[in-house]
This record gives sequence, structure tokens and C-alpha cells, in this order.
Amino acid sequence: MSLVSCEGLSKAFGPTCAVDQVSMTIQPGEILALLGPSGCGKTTVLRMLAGFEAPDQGTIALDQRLVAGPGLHVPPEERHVGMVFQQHALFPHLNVGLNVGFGLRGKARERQAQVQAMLKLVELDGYERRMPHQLSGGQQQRVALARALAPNPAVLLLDEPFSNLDADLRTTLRVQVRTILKQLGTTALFVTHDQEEALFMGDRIAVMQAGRLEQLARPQELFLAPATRFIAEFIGLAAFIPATVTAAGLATELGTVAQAIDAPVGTSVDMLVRPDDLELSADPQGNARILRCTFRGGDFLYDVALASQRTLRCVCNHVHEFAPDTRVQVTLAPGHPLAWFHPLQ
Amino acid sequence: MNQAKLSPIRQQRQRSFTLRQRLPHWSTLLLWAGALLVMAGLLLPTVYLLIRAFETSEAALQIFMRPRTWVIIGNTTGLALAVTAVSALIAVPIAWLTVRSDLPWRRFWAVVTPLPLVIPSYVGAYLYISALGPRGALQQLLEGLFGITRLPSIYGFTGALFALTLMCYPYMLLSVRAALMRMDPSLEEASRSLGHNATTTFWRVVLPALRPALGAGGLLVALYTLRDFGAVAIMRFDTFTRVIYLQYSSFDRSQAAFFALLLIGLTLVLVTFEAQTRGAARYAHASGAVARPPTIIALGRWRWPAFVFCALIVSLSLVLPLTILIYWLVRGLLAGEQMGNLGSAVWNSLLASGGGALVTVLAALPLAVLVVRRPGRFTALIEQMAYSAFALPGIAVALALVFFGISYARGLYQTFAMLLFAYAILFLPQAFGALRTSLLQIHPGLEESARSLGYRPPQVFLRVTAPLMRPGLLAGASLVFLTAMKELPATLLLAPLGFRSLATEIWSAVSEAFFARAAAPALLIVLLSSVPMALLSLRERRGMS
Repeated sequence: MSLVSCEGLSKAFGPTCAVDQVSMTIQPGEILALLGPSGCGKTTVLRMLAGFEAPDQGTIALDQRLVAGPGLHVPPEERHVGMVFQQHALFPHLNVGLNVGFGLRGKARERQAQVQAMLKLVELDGYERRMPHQLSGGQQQRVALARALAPNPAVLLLDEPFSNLDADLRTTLRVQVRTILKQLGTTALFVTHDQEEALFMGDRIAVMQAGRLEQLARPQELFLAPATRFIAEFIGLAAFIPATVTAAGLATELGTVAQAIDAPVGTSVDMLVRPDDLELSADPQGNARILRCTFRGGDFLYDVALASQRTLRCVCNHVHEFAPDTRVQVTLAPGHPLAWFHPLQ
Repeated sequence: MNQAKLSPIRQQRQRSFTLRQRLPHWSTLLLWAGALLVMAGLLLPTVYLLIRAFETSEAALQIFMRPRTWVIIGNTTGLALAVTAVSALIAVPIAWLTVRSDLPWRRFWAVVTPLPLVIPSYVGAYLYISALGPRGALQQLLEGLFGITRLPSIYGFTGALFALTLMCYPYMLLSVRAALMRMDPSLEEASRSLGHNATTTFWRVVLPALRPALGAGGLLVALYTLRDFGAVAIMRFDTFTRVIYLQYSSFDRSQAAFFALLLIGLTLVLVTFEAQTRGAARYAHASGAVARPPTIIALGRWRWPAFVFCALIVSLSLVLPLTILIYWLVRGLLAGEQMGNLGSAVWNSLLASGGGALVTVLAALPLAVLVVRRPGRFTALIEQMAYSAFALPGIAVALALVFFGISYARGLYQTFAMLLFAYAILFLPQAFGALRTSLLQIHPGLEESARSLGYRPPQVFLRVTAPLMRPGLLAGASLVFLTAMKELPATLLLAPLGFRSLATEIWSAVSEAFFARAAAPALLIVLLSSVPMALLSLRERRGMS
């Protein structure tokens, strides 16, 4: 039983197709991160869920209730969704307390109690009388979260809520927000273009690209078994090396990997190789040469050139340091099956 | 050869360095001296009126206690409030319709509705009187059709309210429109997602967010009404400006001076009141840039009523006056109205406005340089004073200068110089604003690098700052030029004997009900006033795309 479910959502703005046949479901209490490059349609999906845009095709059900479909468009105020905007959108003429209480109905005392509870939750108790412009960016965003959560929405939608904040603040705030959402058991859709943020916030991640949903999976799965080349390249550092299917496994420039794949012997494929799938050792007769060395704090990232002039990237812990032009031996040691794709034409 | 060219600058630099240990550079002193002189000039009318009132404090108190005085105070504030309120009722719907709705011909209305700004109040009032007044065009039309010989009188409060509202509402419209276009659409979406429908959202989110714009626009409208002389004089409604002029004409000096002081007091109260109420809530968006254009709302069955509303306002405020203007022009031409005087009036207008623009920009320059380049508590005061001159009614300033001239500066009384001085006081805020903006856009680093390359402050100003400021200087000067062209009360009171400008020509023709004779100068003034309006709407359209 899912709390949010979309079926075949499509939306075009003029000639451009912003969202193309997107279907997804969100389970109760789950945080789904919707990830993709800017302009991929992720915000349009969120705005259709909120009711600010009407889909051209497809249906949306929130909490088992159909809110959008052919001939049906429930207005935003009747959908019971909470929304946190990129630019927080606090009402500039109302103080913090009135902002948080804006969506509450009922007796003044009860509303006041709920406002207090929400401000306590976002650790801003004592700030009710402040005006929005007197708060820092992080505080403003926390008020926006409190305001969206106050009426107990069935689902919370967050539209790149941290993108206007500086890097440090973004990291602390996302810890805080995830803790609060998990504490309340809120079902949430979190839109972002930052994959690190998506990996941190999302229980599952939906990756969109040019209006299409490419894959919806747990973070580990996206990383280990990307459904498309786009995802393989979008998430983490990736390189592809050509391989041929043989009886013994996959034959590559770096030797044969004992991995059986569902393709006839003799097929050419591209294998996804990530920096941590490779091992480096000093070897004057080695099969590769160091091109560049980037120190990343905990480890080194090396760009190495193979005999075929193909370049790969590998990670080594910070004990080993190889100067550029050093000959090294590169070995494929993934410890897990590698993802593969049919070669590009 | 290069060496020879370079060396003098170096020597100068060393010399000025040693001098600077002892006293500021002469150019700095000149700057401050200029600024203080301008400030003194700015304060002169008000201070002089104050001193006069104190000297005759007993008489002043007597005047203050008269019921007649209170009737005038009531008339003036009542008219200002009414014009502001009705302007809001016109401006807010039009602003919302042209920015946020699917009103038919939306872009057309957006361009046309602010245009009544180009009609000066005395021209507008003259056109309404000649259209709707006794023996006016409407009455003659009705007489021909139905034999009606009398219409309800347009003179008095009704006429003043009617004319001023239709000419002032664009001030509010422009400021509300700008605020609506700047408004972050996610504010409304936040309200909708929190369970409020479109109507509640308008009252609880949109309208409060427009409050600063309504305040600023309302201030402009109310100030315009308080200071306006032409419309109330022609509509014969006794507000301060008209009474002051009548008393001046009948040589009742002390009462006129005291009324002028009361009027200045009234405008200052208004300005402070607006600043106070704005106080606590500053509405600046923390994020600044708005990512999305405003969303358009379908009006449904209200589409055509909204269209009719816009059409009605535009026909009353623009089509009617312009039609009447052309009607009188044609009628005058057919009746052989003489246009001979027009040439000298145009020349005088150009001369006075050009001189006024030059003097005003020169006066504003030291103030702007000090305010922008040496921010501090004192220069902040200078800035406030420069803007507060906006609250000074032309007739009050003119009257103060008349009395000052008679008592202390006989040689200057009724000279061209005195008129230019009045213009400089009245239009200083406009020139100051333009110069300040252009100076703010010049990075101080440019001036500093010129200094470090060996130029002294006055050279830096001439070779770096002034060329970069040229657009601002031109904008300020043309703004003052066009406003001075329309100015009526100060020109009437202060111009040399026999000086006839376009504005005074219209005034004297209308005072004697020679409507046809006023048409040609009125048309010229309207055309000239259209120039900055065209620039403004061009800029707004560029801002939107």
C-alpha cells in the first residue's frame, strides 16, 4: 500500500516535453529522493504532485485518493501536501509564529501549541516574534520546514531546499532535516540535483533524465547495478572498458574477469569500472603509466593510461604515492559482479 | 620621451602627499562648501517661513484658531485621502489584471493605463472643465440632442477628486505593478499548499505583500494632491494651495505665509507617517532574484467585466481629455485663433527649464558625491534632506522666496535667477536620485586606481568619474528639464514680469475661459511629457523580457 503513486505522468510546456511517462510510488514513511541534472523535469513532477501543474496524461493518487487524472484536478489547498521551497518562501509580512501557524485551523490555543511544538522540533523555540528577514538562511529554511509540517501533511515535498545555502550549512541542515522526518515518520519526496545529497537523504532514489525516469532503486543498487549508461556515469566516477564474452569469463585489456553474463560467447560489451574496482602496484614492466595524481585527503586518485591509450581512474589509500610517469600494474579486482552495457554504436 | 611626460605627475604626487599631512585637499573643501551651500538653500524657504511665523506669532495663533483655517485643513487632507483611496481602488485591480490574469488585450492595457501621467494637473483639470463644465462640450452635445442647458456642477470637491484621481492613479499603478512582477510566486504556492484557496491567498498573502508598494504609491499620490495647485485652482476647491495663491494675489501676506508653513507641515507629517508605518516589517526578499515569471490566472466569466473596467478607466483618463484637447485645437484653428505668442512661450519654457536643469544638476552633484563616496551619519542626513525636498509644495517655496526677495534681496526679486533657484529647490530630489544611482554604479576601485596612478582628486573626478557618470547626469538633467517645463505655481509667482511660458500661457487662457487658446500649448506640454514616459515603458518592457 503506497502513500503516493503516479502512473504514466506526462507534461509538455509548448513543444518541449518536460515529463515523459513517469510512474513511481512512495511507501508510507519513506523518503524518496528525486535526482537529476537541472532541466530534467524533476521539479515539474513535484509541482504536479503538489497541484501547481496539471499533468497532460497520467494519474496521481495521494493516500489512496485520486487527485489528478483525466478531467480531474484537485486544487493544491485540498491535497494536504506540505511543501518546502527552494527560496523558503516565508511570508515577509508575518513573523515566525504566524508563518508556522498559517496552515493551521481550529482553536487559537491548539494552534499555538502546535506552533510551539513545531518550533521546538526545528530547534527555533523562542523565535516566534522574529520577522523572516531577521533570520539566517538556515533558520529561514527550518521555519519553512516547520510551517510545512505543522498541518500534519500526508506527504511532504521538498524542492531543492538547501540549494541556496552555503556548503557547511547544507551538510548540517540535511542531517537535521532527515532526523526530524524520520522521527515523525513523514513520507517525503526530496528533489535535488546534488547526488551526494540524494544519497544521504533518500531511502530510495529516483533518477530522472530528459523527462524520463531512468531508475528507481536503493542507493547501493544504483551504484552497483545501474540500469543505464547515464546512471552509471551520473552516479560516482565511472569508466568503461571494452570486453569480449568468452567461456572463461569476460576478456579485457586487463585480463579476464571470471564473471558469467547473459550473452552469447563472442559478444562485445562495455564493462563499468569504478576507481575502487582497480588495484595499483609499482611495477617497472607494468601495463599502465600514471598520468596525474590527485590527493583527496583520505586517498589518492590516479589517472592512468593503459597500453591502448585508454585512461582509467583508480583509488589508492594514502600510503602509496606514485609520481606521474611511473609505470604501474593495474589489476581488476572488483570483489562483486561488474555492470555491463552494450557498446555504443 | 615617456619619462619626460611621466615625471610631472610623480612630483605632484609627492607634493600633495606632504600637503595632505596638514589639511584636506582643496577639492574636498570645495565639495563640502558646495554641499553646505545647497543645504542652506534647501532650508531657506522653510526656515524663513518659520521665522516669519514666530515674529508674528500672535497673528499666526489667531489665524490658527479661525474656523476657516480648519475648514481648509479639512479640505486639503480630505481631498488627499480621498484621491489616494480612489486611486488604490483603480490601481490595484488594474495592476493585478495586467500582471496576473488572462485579461483580453493585457499587454495593451499595461502600456496604456499609466499614460495619464503625461497630463499635468492643470491641463487635465482644464480639459475636464471644458468637457463637463457649464457650457462645456458635453452640455452642448446634450443641449443639441435633448435641450439640456444645465449639468450638475463639476466645481469643488467632486471635480478636484475626479480630475486628480484620474491623473494620479498611475503612480500607484506603477509601483503596485512592479511589486507584483517582483513577487515570488512560491509565496502564493506555499499558501495554497497550506490549505488556503485562491481568494483567501489574495487577501492574506498577496495584498499584505503589496503593502510597501501601496504605501510608496499612496505617498506619491497624496503628496501630488497636497502640492497640486493647478487642478484645485481650476476646480475652485479651497485647499491650501489655492487659498495661498488667492491671498498672495490680494496681498494678504502674513496669512499666506502662515498657510504655506502649515502646508509644508502637512506634507512632512505625511512623509514621516508613511516611513513610520513601514517601520517593523521590511519586505525585501532574502533571496532577491525570482526564478519564475508570475503565473497567469484565468478570469473565467469575469474576463469581459474586467475588460470593460479597464476600458472605462482609460476612456475617462486618457481618451476623453485627449479628444477634448484636439476638439479645442481644431475649433481654435478654424476660428482663426492666433498662435503668434506661442513661439516666445516655447522659447521661454525651453530657456527656463534648461537653466533649471543645469542649476539643479550642479546643486545635486556635491550632495551625491558626498553621500555615495563618504557614507557617514552626516551624509546620511544630507541624503534625507535632499529627498525631503520632495515634500515641498511649489507654491509654498515660491511664496517664501517672494517674501524673502522683497525683504532681503530686492535685486533678485522677479529675476530669472530667483526662478532658477526655486526650480533647484523643487527638483533637487529628482536630480539627486539620478546622480546617486549612477555614482553607485561606478566602483570606487576605479577612482582609487586613478589615485594610485598619480592623479589628484579633481583630476580623477574630471577624467574618470564624470565621463562614467554621463548617463546619470543626462538622465537627471532631462528629468528636471521636463518637470520644470510643466511647473506652474513657482513660475507664476517668481517669473520676471511679462515672462510667458507654455504653462503660464495655459493658465492665463484657462483663467479667462479661452479654452481654444489653451489647446496648442497644452498639446505641446503633453507631447513633451510623453518623452520620459516612453523611456520608462521601454525600460519596463526590457525588464520583463
